Order: sequence, then C-alpha cells, then structure tokens
Amino acid sequence: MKIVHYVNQFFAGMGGEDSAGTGPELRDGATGPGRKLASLLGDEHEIIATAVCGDDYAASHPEFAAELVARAKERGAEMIVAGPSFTSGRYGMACARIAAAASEADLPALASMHPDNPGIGEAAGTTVVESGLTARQMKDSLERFAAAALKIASGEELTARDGRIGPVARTNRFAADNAAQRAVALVLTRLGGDRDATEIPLPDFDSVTPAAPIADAGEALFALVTEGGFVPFGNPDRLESARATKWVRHSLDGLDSADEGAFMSVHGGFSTVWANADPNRILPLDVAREMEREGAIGRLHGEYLGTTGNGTTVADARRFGMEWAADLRQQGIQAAILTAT
Amino acid sequence: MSTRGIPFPAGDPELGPEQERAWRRQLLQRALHAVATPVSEPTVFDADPVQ
Repeated sequence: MKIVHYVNQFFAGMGGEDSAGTGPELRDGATGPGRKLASLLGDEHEIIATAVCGDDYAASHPEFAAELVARAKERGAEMIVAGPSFTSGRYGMACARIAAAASEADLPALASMHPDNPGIGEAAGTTVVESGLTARQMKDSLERFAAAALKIASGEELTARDGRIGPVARTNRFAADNAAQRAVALVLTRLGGDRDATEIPLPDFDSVTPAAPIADAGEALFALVTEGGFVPFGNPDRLESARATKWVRHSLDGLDSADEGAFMSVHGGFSTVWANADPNRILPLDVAREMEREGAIGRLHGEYLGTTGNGTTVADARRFGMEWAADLRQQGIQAAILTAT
Repeated sequence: MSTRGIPFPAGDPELGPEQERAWRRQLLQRALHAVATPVSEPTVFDADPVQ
C-alpha cells in the first residue's frame, strides 16, 4: 500500500517552537520517525511521502488537514498515518484532524498518541492507537503503531487489545445475558475489587499545566478574550447563544471602550440586559485601554477572541482553548484576561 | 478570580457609573497581579487586594 505519513515541524527536523507557524507541505519519502516506521511496515508497504505542518499553524488553521489529505491523494496515497504525537497537545490535535480528514476522504487512516492527549477528542470516530508519554518511548510506540497500521491496511478493525484508544462509535449487538443479569454480575465484579469494571466508560478530564508567570505586565502584550457571548452589535457571524460550535474574532483597534450599541452579548444562559447596557461589563475594554495608556499594561492586542460558554461540549471547549492559545502565541501575546460568565 | 455576578463579570450594575468603573479597574489590577504570580495548580485569587 502507498502510505503518506504525517509529522509536525519538530519531527520533520525543521525546528522547535520557532518553526511552529510553518504551513502545510508534502515531502517525498519518509522523514524522521517515518524511516523506522517504513522499515517496520515491511516491503509490501511504502511511505511515499511525508506530510508536515507546524503545530501552531495546524491548531489555528483546521483546514490544513483537508488540504494535506487532498494533496496526498493526488500523489496516490492509499492510506494515511499520523504521529506518534505522545502527549503533545497541538501535535495530537493535528494528527487527529489528519486522520479524520483522511476518513472523510474515504482513505484508511490511523493516528498515534497517548491516551491523555487532548487531540483524542478531535479524532471523530477514526482510529487512534496508543503511544507512550514522550518521544523517549519512540521505539515501542512505533512498533505498536506499525502493527496497528498493518492490521488496518489488511482491512481489519482495531480493538483495545491492539492498543486502540479514544471514542469508538457504538453499535448494536446481542448480549448473551439480559440487563439485570449483567448488572448483578457487574456489582459482584466491583465487590470483588475491580473498581473500574463498566459497560459504559466515562470520559476522562485532563489537567492543564499552568503557564509561567509574566515578568512585568508593563512590558507585556495582553489579549482580552471571553466566553460571554460578546459580539459586535447585530451578531454578524451568527455566534450561537448556546452549544457554540465556533468562536469569533473582532478588531478592537481604535476603540477606547466597548460601547452600548457597538457590542452586545448573545449569551443564552443569563439576562443580557446589563451586558447590553454597558458591554464593558463583559469585555473590560474601557479600563484596559486606560491602563495601557498609563503603562500598567504594555500593550493591548488589536482584537478579542470570543465564544459563548453555555452548554458547550467539553470537546468543543477544549478545541477552542487550543485554537485560541495557538493563535495568541503566534501573535506574540504573553498574557490573556478571560472574562467568564 | 470570582467577581460579583454571572451577567457582569467585569462590572457591578448596583454601583454608580464612577464606582463601577473603579471596581472594574480594581479587577484588572488584580488580574495583572494574578498573571505575574507563579501557580502550580488551580488557584483562586481574591478580587479584593490583600492588605
């Protein structure tokens, strides 16, 4: 089979964070960990090209995935594999997006990452196989990745025994015992000491490592961000009032205040009367400008990022957070003030 | 940092305009203090400065 392998800028040897803004490209043959992967895949399969994209670019331009998959298909790719991305959040999200875009384009696909990688939420039903925590487990991770890829290439489904992780679409099947019998059996299993036995695995919530503090607010570039449904008056992007699936960005250039009639809140989870009478109550632009003029804030970013935090799914919220963080980092922002409702 | 109400995270409509703006300014000053403070886990900052 002709395979295209996705890696980020780091594993392609282009550099670290300084190259994270690099756009998508396709290179001939295997690169970096792809070389070892190619040897593990054997002679029947060939890595014909390596797809590469910088992590920040991938996180803030979700369309990179469909673009790379289309280019891989033009080259004759019959399967796409991505990673391993270990616990790197942006890289994991990129791998998941590549795998999901490949599935969408009817290509067999596989991504590899650690179960704690937030990218798992983006895999949208495609197959993800477990990797180690860090690149120090590269060898074992590549062996499992290659074994899983060979299984998929032969048209088989991966199961947990192959190291499959992440959400699997539920399907109906007949069980030997009825629900009451299974419930009693599960209680007995739990009483027997197996605290994790379940028919319905619940999602894990990850923890986030706090960023290092800024040294001097008077020198730093600040962004204002909010989940208060804060939009330009009239809501030109049609941002949802609940269960938001997107976020918006709008310019604050030349504005000294978030005035009534210029901005509003479309949040559906509280009365927006106070927010609409003075939108600075949601996005504190008036005071932030004042402090920028006085030098307490080095400089205020020229736009705000916003969404509606109301019944938002964890997967969407995590995606927004990662996209915001990547976007703000690309713009050189050192601190963000997020007003939450 | 918890503030005074879900519908107005950076305000307080019970106050007069000048007092409300002073409250908002205090919140932002505390936010600047928070982002300059090292933390290792979820940490709640007080909106009223420590004396």
